[in-house]
Amino acid sequence: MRDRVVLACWLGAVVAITFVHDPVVLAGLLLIALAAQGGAAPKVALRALAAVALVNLTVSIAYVASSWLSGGDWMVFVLRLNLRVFLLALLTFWMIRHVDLVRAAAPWAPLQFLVVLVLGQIRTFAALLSDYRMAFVSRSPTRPPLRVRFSSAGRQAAAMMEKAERQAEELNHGMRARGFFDERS
Amino acid sequence: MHIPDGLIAPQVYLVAAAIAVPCWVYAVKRVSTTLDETAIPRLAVLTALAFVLSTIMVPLPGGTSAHLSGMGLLVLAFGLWPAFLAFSLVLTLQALLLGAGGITALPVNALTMGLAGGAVVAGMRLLLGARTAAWTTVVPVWLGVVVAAVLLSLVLGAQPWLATDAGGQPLFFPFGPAVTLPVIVLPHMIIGLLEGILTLMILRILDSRRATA
Repeated sequence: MRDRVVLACWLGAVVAITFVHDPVVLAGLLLIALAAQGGAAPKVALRALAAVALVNLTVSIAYVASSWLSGGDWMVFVLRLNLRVFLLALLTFWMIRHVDLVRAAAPWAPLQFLVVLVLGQIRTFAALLSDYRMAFVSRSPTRPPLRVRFSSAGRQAAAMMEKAERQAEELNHGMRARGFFDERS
Repeated sequence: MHIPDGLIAPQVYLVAAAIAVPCWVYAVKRVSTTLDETAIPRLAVLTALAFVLSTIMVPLPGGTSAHLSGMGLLVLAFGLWPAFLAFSLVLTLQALLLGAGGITALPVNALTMGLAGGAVVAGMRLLLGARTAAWTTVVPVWLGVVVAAVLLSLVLGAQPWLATDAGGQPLFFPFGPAVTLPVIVLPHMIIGLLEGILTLMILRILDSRRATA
């Protein structure tokens, strides 16, 4: 229940913040959000900053440059954009720390089952991909040419596709053997 | 290429959500009817696959790389609606687990990259029929990536027209299509071509392995 409440509050806050345009109000909300993080504030703020820095810097610098060339004002927009995007990222990373997606999906059994399976499969595929990458690097004492890197990327993805087909079939057999489909019908 | 939170006006993402929700409902129904009881495990594996495929780098000349979106590959391998559903789930998980992309921008990202881009790939492949030449895979995937990039640029480029303050300053993304179209579409014309070639390679590798199995 707690996870769903946190998820709903986060979603409501994200939507509400997109209706706030005053940089002073956004700065106030940002301070409140930082204070609410407690001791984790620096860590969460750094993660949020890393996530938005590239987009924010690119858009801000381009906007300042174009305003400077046209003689327009840029301060309010740059403050508004950076405060809003950073605040939204901060809230998202706060939510990620406090919400367990599997527990949040508990009232909807098929959805919860889907989330559990997806998260498990992501770990399996990520491990496979990591193995492939490390094997490729260990076999390449110098930086391989573009053609070889391209071919390696293609073989990695093909191996994943093959594994995906087998995994789906195995999962299906496993679920049938445990009576999952009988319980649903 | 997907958009983070805070750059799209509510009047855009709410309308996009109103369009996306029926599409997701239809996709769930299509996947459930075509895949019956195997729908959940197949969808789970497909989603995990799409999630991890999006971490595979497409090598670019000069030592840099871009992400594989995997949408064209998923459409060609599994069909439009399963691919759209898996891609939407991937975007949701990226937003909820990694903070990548935005939850408000999710409907826009899903509709442009997942549905429109995927529909272009599926539609072109349907038009080309049973032809198996290399270009019949590369061109649909390339066009799917480019169409998605064009739509995304137009959505972003529309923000300064749709939402400004009393002083005329933009409330969300500040640049119009004259900036967004070249900045987003031109790199994706190259990325789309590389993704098309990579998709062709993957499908050929799979075919040859199946033939020898």
